[in-house]
Amino acid sequence: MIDIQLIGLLNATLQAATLLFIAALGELITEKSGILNLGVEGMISIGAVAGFMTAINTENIFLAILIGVLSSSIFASIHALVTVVLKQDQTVSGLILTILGLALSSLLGKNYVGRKLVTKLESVTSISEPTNIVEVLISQNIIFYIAVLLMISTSLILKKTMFGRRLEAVGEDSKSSDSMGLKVAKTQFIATCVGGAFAGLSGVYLTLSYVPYWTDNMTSGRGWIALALVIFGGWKPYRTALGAVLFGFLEALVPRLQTYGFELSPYIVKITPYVITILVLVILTIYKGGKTGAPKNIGVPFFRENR
Amino acid sequence: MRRSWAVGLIIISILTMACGGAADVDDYKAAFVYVGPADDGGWSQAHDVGRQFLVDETGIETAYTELIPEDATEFRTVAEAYIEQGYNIIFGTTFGYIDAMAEMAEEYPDVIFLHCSGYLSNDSNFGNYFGKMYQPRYLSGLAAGAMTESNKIGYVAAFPIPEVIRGINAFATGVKEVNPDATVEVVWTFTWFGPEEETQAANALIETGVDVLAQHQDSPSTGVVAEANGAKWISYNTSYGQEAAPGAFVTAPVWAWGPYYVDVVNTIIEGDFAGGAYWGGMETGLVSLYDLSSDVPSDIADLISEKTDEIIAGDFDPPIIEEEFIDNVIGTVSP
Repeated sequence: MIDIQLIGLLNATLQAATLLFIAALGELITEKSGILNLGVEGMISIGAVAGFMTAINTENIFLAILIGVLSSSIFASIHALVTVVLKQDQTVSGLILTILGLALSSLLGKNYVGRKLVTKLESVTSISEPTNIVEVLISQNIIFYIAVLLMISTSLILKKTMFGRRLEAVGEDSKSSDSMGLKVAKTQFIATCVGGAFAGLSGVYLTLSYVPYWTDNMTSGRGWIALALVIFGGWKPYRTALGAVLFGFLEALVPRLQTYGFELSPYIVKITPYVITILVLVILTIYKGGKTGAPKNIGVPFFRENR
Repeated sequence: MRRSWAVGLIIISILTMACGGAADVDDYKAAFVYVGPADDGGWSQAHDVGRQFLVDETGIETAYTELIPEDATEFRTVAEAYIEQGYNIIFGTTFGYIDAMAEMAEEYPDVIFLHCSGYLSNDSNFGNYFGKMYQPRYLSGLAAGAMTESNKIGYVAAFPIPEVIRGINAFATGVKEVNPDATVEVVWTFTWFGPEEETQAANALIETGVDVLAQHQDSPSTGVVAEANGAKWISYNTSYGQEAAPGAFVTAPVWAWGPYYVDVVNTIIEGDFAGGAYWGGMETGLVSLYDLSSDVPSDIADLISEKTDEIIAGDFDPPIIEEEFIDNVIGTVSP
């Protein structure tokens, strides 16, 4: 029995981690370009509801994933428009994106609340009840493997490709990048939309697999944990993945500890992601002279005229 | 100039009110404040269905505002706006409005405040109301006890507070009555509404081998998990969720606020309202057990309807235990 519970814990950890990781990875890419987008919670909601509505209406799971990803990406372009083109405050715009996304998803999803989803994202293999770690790892649904691929490719793109270098340059010093002939606005616009697309994928994962139905405020704060995760991960894909697994593990652990008979206050566990993130920041500040890995230009609008 | 008009209007309206004679329904307007969306399919929707029933039965003018957090300032802003518009009955339908309502009842003696699930009241314009949900929970326990094959039942619960603990114990009393070997395992989520937390909790219970899940939560996550794992599910609040998990749905202890809203508004119109606390049981229709699914064995269905009659007649009441769990419940009251 303990085995089933351990396997369950592992499986639940991966599910919670996948949701957090994809959204965090998208935000990482956006932030690398120097744009801070606090709208993750709203973007996940938009992807979640769009994917769910498509899945109910068309019963086509791949179309649902595609629509979810696209809608969030288009939604994120509002932030890009406001901050990159119109040079407005990124914090305010991001917060508005969160509020707008939650409200809009409630409105769109009104007639979908509590409806049964027939076409869910199923495991890629036919193992319905995994009995060991390997089976758990090979019996996830397609988005989990996409997430792994995204982790590896994002890391490679950031480190090895010209596009990655340019992205980083823009985020570190947009003025110099501009003088060097890089297209700052275009790069930032694309990075913001890519971040939105990732958040959308995370939303689709939520409503088509992890919690397969629709109701208002489905995300219940996961977007904010994803934001904390980017800081925890020091803007590095692998470390962000590690953080996602850690935070996901905590989420999966809370109810299971109770079934094991342990008494641990869930309140403490719930604040842990944030406490750990602050600790990481403090430790980096002390030992690495404040080098948290944050792009230097983050949150600063780029005005060519102000050089 | 404008101001004198306004003053004149106020004087005229005061005079009309004073000389109006016997009150009727047109003298009152009722406003409802909800913590969640009015169509959340759970707690707030149950209240909104009650509000519509009130309108149909009495013809009173009503309004509502949804998604108002359990926060004194937020409630006050909304309630004061209603009072300015002439609303004189304010329903606050979540526990967290308690302090704001108590204060406002003193400030606005001509407005009647009715607070759901609280414990404060006065003897003039401030009352609280709630229902004996433990009664239908006991009945749902009879169904759960009969339907488990593994003799393990899971219960996804929000917060370890008296209302929830009372419900778990009443449920477990029902389980024990039909199946002394079955246990009820409790996992706390520490949220009324948390799709992810509720999913995790329900999965954790499934992993321990439960084949029936019950809940004191506002989302249907538990039912969706039960459906995916071939388990049975006792829902809560409304029959909502039947659609989300049709194979798992057995029944649900449900709220029906409508009849109470009609009663209390009629009492107010007749001038007999005097604050105080109201705790309605199954005999009032405020709480009940939703129709059983066809999977419930017929002898158990008969037992449930027999017990329902006894509770309504006042011959039987499930025990009210809110300090600790009874012996067939696994879990801790203060995790």
